[in-house]
Amino acid sequence: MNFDDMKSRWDKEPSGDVKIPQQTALLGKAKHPVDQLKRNMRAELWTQTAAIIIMAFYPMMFHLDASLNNYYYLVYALFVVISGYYIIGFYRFYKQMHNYASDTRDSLLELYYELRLSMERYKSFGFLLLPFANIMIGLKFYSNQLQKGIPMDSFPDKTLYAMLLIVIAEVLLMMWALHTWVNRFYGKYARQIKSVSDELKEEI
Amino acid sequence: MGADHSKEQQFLTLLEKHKGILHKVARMYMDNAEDREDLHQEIIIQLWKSYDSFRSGSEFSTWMYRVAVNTAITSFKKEKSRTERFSSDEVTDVASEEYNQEKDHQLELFYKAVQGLNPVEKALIFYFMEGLSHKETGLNLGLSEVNVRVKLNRTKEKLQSIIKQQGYEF
Repeated sequence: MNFDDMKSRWDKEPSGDVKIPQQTALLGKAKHPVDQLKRNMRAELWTQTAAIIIMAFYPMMFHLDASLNNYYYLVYALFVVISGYYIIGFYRFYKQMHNYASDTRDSLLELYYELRLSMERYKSFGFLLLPFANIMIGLKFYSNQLQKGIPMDSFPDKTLYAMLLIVIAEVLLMMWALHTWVNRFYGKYARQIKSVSDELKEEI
Repeated sequence: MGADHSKEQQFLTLLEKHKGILHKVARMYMDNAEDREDLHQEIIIQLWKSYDSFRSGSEFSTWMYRVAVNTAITSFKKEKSRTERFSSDEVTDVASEEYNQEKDHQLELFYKAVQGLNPVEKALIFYFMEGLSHKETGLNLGLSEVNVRVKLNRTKEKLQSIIKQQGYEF
């Protein structure tokens, strides 16, 4: 056996196992990891959009004290602007067509950096939402105190410190969860792509 | 509507003519029939989605090589780790596998040995077997001609060594 012999066998090899469809409409759904990631992203986009709409009714749903409504909607407006910016970014990635027709190195690098960008975008989006979530929870808490006629400055220092610690712990936990979640869904694939593109590094 | 239909028919005709590329890329990158079938389908989908990037003046096969190899390289789905997939037991069992007389036994051994290569090495061997020059391979992979030569020589040695491990002369 040698390469010349193998090449002539290769050239003669039949390709009967490949079934070409009669119409492109008969092609199934793409199962490529990039397409699957994009489909997950589309589902998340719908969930995020629905969450933003539902958050508009937060004061009604949680019976926020009417005097706090203006503060709530000021925070909500910022929340909508920031979320909109990120959601448009995710949507662009979702709609963007990956270029498989460029050379392999460029194709892999483009894919890798698109994935890394999306991962970082997810993380920063999540981190940016944390203060909003805390403010919204804080407003509900303050509203309860107002409705009970208890002024905020009547809290003992111990309770305030405990609340501060709870918020810090919650933020840290959420940051860890977000980091883990993003790495779980995108990290493995991004590492695989990076590892293959490293194989294409010039050696001379 | 008519133009779309004509474009689709032109695409399917070209695909039928060059389906050997699909077959060979899938044989290089997937080691079982089910995964190969999935990869055929995946490559056809990506080819169709990218068809607008194909310029009618250029060679369809050249464009198809890139899309097919790039899709195969980035399809890690169902792929087991290389050590898991390419255990020494599997290598020694190649000769005793149920063998279809119509298939070329030596080519079967070659494809089995190829499973021990990494995705880039598989692409290098694929282009070499297809008869592409170092320059053409370099353009497809994004490597210089010199680097293709160096990497290809190394890959060929690796492949020969794997085949020898299987107990065959190469």
